[in-house]
Amino acid sequence: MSGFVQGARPVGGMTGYAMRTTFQVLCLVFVGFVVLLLVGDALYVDGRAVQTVLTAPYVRSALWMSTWTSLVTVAISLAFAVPTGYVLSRCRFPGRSCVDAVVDLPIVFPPLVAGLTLLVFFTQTGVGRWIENAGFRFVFQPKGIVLCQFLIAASYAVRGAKVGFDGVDRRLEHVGLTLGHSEWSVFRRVTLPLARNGIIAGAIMTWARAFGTFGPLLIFVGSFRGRTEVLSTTIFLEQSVGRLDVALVIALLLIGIALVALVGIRLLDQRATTGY
Amino acid sequence: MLFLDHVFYAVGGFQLSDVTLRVVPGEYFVLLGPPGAGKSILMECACGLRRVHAGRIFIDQVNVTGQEPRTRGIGYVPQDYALFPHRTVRGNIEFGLIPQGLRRRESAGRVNAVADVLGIGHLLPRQVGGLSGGERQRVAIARALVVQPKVLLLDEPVSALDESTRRVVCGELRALHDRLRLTTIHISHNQQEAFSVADRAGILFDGNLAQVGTLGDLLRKPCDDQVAQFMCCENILTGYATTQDGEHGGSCIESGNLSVKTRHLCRGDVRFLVRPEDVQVTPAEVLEEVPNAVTRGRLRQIQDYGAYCRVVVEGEPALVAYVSPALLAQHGLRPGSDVWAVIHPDAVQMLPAGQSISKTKSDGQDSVLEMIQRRPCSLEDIVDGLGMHRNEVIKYVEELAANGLLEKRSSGGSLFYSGKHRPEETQR
Repeated sequence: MSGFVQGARPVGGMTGYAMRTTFQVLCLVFVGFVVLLLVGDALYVDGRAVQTVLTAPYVRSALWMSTWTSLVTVAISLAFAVPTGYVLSRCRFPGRSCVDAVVDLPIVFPPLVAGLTLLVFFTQTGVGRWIENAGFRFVFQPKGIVLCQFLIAASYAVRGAKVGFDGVDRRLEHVGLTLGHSEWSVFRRVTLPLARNGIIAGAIMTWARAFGTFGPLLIFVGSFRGRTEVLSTTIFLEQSVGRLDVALVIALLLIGIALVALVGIRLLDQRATTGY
Repeated sequence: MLFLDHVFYAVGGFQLSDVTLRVVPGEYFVLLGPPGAGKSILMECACGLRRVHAGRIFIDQVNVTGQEPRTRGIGYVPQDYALFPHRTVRGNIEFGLIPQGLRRRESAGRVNAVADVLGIGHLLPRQVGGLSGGERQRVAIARALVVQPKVLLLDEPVSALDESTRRVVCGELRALHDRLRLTTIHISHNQQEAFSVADRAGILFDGNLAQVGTLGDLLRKPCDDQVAQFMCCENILTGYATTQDGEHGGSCIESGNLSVKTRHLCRGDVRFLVRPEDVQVTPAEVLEEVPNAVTRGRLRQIQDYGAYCRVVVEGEPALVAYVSPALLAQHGLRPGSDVWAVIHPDAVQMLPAGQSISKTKSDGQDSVLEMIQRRPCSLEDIVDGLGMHRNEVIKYVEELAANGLLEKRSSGGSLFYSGKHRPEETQR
């Protein structure tokens, strides 16, 4: 069989062998470091702490709050990310570089600054106060959690969508147009399906970031037990009252859920792409 | 029918300048040109994938300049075929039927029919990822044909194929065209490919359509050096022409040691070309009688291309010839051998007046006038006799008619031109 087979290794010299070995060692060190930390956490906790976490109603409430807010955040992020990513990938207009930079800005926001910015906007500015007074209350409300997560995480969805659209060959769209389809039809039937991997990757990153958001939430919505409490704020509250083992169990729970979700989505995506 | 009327389009530092092209219904037209000449851009303009900045585009007499690509009725097969990787072969072919809202059975029937025409019925359930180059090409053509386009546009359809497959596929493309009689435009940078499929061809250089005509015209009557070189004519020579009624009834051209009596009428400094395959190479000792149009030289270089050898005869002037390897072997010719390079007078083609070193517009006009003063000539007679481009002759004829120096006469369904003498010549 001719051609380069996926997974096959070409004949390499000592330089290639040394390079691959070095990279593999560094990869192993990184993964080992993360796993070691988690194992350290797991060894620290005891059965009583686990039982407390599994039975405490406030933990279940925080888990539910984390789950639904992060999923809503992903949905809203995608609603903005797909058009924004398309515009940044396909359209040329004055100030495009500035728009591109602004889209990435929330990624480099210090988390506390994001919370502070939202708080100032909704409490100190006319527009913000008008929105609050019009009945769309965000400050110290569950809706505020979604807003915080959206601000912090939506950029990942935009970036993923843009990368996805960048990877779609324009000639495929051109062919679609000459075959009697409108631009919308070509977008729906050609561009979007082919950009799917990038969009899914962006959505995963958005969800992971939203699920673990903590800093801005503490400032913008506070941490009211049973009302605006998510898993990350529960960890903070538990460790602040000295229950470090309980905080660690919740942290492991959060990490475990995130890990299962990430691996699961990647496997599903791989299956959809390769057919097996 | 596709008609591009004075199309202008600019992008970056490149522009298509005033391109006018008419492809007649049912014709197989090949658009030739080197890479970067703007062939694909021109065709994307025709498809509506680029908005032209000036000019008009007609498809079947309808002005489609402002229309969207989807309503133009052009079946477009891009380079590398651009098959949809997320759809099966059937999904690719039926993609163009979705907007037509056909019933499932009718849609499947049309897909099956076009797949049968192209011999890809067995591929319909397959994913496009595992198809070979030839199969991908057939699927792309089937996808373009299933929507029953008015014009089929093939952008370098065989460039990704190996040489032997390319020949087979070109034969199949021509056979398909003969069967469907669909107006087809085929973009290529390979003149051999064009010869195997085309009715007519055009050559594009740097966004300018240099010449349109039959391949014979492009090969034997190139309008300028660029076209001649693109059509692989390596012998572009300069010489001095004297008008005389000789054996061939035309001018005699002297170029170095070469003296050719041609059928062309011209005078003064001229440029002319001789195709390498029209140069005969004979060993010096074999030629007993020195004929017309011959020059002696020494073989400087022999490049073996398998089917033929390209040899350079170092003489005055130097000539490139394509000869059979058998001939070289038979006479034991090798670099350094003394040879005669013989040119048949009919093989000499004049480059148009605009390209000549000293020929000016008035020289061209004079040549036309001189010719029609001798005897009434049709347009074709003048084009053939002077080796000028047809458009150039038409321009001179119109100018002479405007100056009252030319008479038109119709005879046997053809238009003949005869010349009058200039007033100053009459006075003398």
